[in-house]
Amino acid sequence: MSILSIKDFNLYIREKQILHDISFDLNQGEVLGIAGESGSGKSLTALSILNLLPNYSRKNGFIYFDNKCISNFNDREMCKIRGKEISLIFQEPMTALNPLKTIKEQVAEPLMVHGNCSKKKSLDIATYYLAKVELPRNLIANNTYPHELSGGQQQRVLIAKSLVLKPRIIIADEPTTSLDVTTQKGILDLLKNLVNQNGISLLLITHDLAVLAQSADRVAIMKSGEILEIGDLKKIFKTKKHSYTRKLLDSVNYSPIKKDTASKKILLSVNSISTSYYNSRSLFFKKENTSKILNDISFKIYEGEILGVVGESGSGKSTLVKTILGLQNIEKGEILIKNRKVEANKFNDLKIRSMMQVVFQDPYGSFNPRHRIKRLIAEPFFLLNTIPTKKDIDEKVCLALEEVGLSPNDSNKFIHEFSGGQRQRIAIARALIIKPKLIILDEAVSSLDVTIKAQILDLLVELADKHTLTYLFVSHDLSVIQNIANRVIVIRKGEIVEEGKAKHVLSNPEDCYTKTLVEAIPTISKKLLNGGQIVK
Amino acid sequence: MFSYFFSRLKVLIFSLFFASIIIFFMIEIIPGDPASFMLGINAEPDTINALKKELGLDVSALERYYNWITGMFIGDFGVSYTYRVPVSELVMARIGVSIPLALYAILLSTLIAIPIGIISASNHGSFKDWSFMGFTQLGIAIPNFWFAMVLVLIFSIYLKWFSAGGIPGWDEGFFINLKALTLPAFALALPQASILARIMRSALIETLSQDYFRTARASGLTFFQAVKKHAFRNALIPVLTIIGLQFSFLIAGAIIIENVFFLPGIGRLIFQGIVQRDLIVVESLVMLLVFSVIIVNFLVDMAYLYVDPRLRVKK
Repeated sequence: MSILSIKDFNLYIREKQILHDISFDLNQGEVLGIAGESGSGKSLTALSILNLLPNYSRKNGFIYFDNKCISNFNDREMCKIRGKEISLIFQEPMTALNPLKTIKEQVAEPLMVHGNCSKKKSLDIATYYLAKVELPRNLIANNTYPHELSGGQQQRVLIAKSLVLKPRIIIADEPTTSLDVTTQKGILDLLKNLVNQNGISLLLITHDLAVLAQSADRVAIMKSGEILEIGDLKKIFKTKKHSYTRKLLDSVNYSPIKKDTASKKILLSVNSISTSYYNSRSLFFKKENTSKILNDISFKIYEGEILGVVGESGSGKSTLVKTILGLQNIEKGEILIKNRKVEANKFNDLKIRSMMQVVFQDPYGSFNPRHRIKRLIAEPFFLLNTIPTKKDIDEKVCLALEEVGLSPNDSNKFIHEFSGGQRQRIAIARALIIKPKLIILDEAVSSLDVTIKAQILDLLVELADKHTLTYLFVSHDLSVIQNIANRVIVIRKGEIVEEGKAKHVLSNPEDCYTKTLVEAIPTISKKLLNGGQIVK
Repeated sequence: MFSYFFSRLKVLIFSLFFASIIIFFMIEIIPGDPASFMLGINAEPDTINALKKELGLDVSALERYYNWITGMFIGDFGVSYTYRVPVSELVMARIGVSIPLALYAILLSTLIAIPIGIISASNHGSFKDWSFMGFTQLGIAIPNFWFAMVLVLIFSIYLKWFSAGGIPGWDEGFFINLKALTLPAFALALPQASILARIMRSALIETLSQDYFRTARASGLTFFQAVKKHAFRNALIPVLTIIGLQFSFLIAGAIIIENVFFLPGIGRLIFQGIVQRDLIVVESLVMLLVFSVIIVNFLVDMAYLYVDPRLRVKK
């Protein structure tokens, strides 16, 4: 029996059609997955159900909840449904909680708004649910504020908040996308169990088909505001009727294979470096209150190889990148690139800086929005001893753009005219243009959609083969690293716990931390793709 | 929490110390000797020296600084050159006008600004928003002394609701004084309220687009419940900063308004002190103003602690 039913729903924002004839049913107690890339209209579908649409939007079509048409409800009537009958969990747990209120107050809030519950009773119920989502006891007992929690814990709080009124439906919009793989697994398991126990229907929205494969009963594949196909998970994954479904399935955990072209020559050697942050700084007294970020890290990168660096958030990966780039002081040890010492904050050593270039995670924040692409890409030229002529630069920029799969005509555009994947291509062009010895990829594909991610990974391998480049590939996602990296080091709490050939480390992890990382990667079992039983 | 308190306290003490040095030496390098100024150009050098001794001007600058600072700790601000009474007495008589005026003005400005900011932000882009923002633009553009004169013209001369200036004194009762301060407070509050309303509006618009506001709406709060319970307090942080800055502006900025309304406040005293070259009065009053500004900012810093739990570092 369907509890929520959407019929011929269209949505326009500023008169541009965003959703086209969306129709689907959500049955009592089932998990329906909606998969699609960013911009496919998944999130707006979720917001449409609760009528939390942005201004200047216009809609038509019908949404039935419990056999009542709610699509023409006014805000007051909708408020009675939101949180009580249908609740929402969002993507970014870090920003979805009010920083000024304790987590208990926030979990208790729906009870006070809907349930005519006294404050004390609401807080008691909140405490019960916080325990149910397996939040550590000391955090529940104290007046904890959101900033004292990790991302995964914050998402648990939000799950508790969505459960307190025992809703009929929970809509989870990318609930695990911004979390680490190990945390992701925990959150998904928790959500699945709670939903099963309480007979709640779950609408799970994600771009990651592997996540759906482990949780959903039925799936809907969305693209550009349309539902391409919808049906039983097993059937959809088996038949792969639609070409787009096939494309999505192929890009799950995709990692192109890179030939091992490492030479014997050492390019970069990191010799037992340690660094720490000061917890508090005062004007006059330097306090010795420090926390170690990197602890005695040593490794080497050989010319022509791809070295993967893996670890959870907070493991010290980003700090490692900063120290190698000479942007952060090291306390002990030294970093040598081609036998030249990298010294922190010594910016006049252009030779060293011209040997390293970096591609960062966020393609939206990595460019000055006021400069044209030409200037953005040509920026590293100032590092060279002899700066080429203007004509030379133009030619090289055009060549670099072509190499990353863009057109030379793009050089006069501004960055906002490009999509996330294209921006990452531009970032790669910028890193390549002065032919550096080492390219550091700091979570360079982590914020991209699965299909785009696959394309960028292919591009990186292609460029590496063509120019025999050396990459330091930093990622929290083991599935990305598995084939592309030749060797891999696993970092935990600032220390290397495992190191070796990528294939070997990932297929036979010795360290238990590496094991949990490997096990946490969501995968689609071969059986499912070939139409067998689901192995959960 | 305590480390935050002490770090702010340290900043407070050092600011006061540096401010006192700067004020003292600024006044010190102003040309003109108060003793000869008071006695006129025909005075005998002996008389001038005698007066200098009486005023404590015959010792070195360092010594005078020391005397001034240590005196201030026990409430001794020195003796006014022109009035020949202790500066503390002069100040005490006037502070009863200036502080209530500033508080009144800040209260009015907050009471006007916050609702306007909330209404504008909630109706972002609407006609209401545009018209309110138009008015605040005017409020910033109009000089407050001119606005003060318009107020006098309308409410004192035509409508005869308020007197055009002066203050009866606090012995005469609370409300009669409050009434006398109403027009000056309004004149002072208008530009402040305009600025504050704009800050409130933009801070609130920012918080309305935050994820936690959406979370609140998704858990069934109406728009205004969500504003009240989640957005408002978050938007208050930048507003508090501005209120703190405005308070100091109101105390110092009252000089002109006090002159327009013939109020015997600190502002008028400073003005007279400068005209009559009563340096000890100027020096002490400026220090007092600096002190009040720094104290208010300290209180604002403490208020952050109340509003923002992220500053309350545990242990």
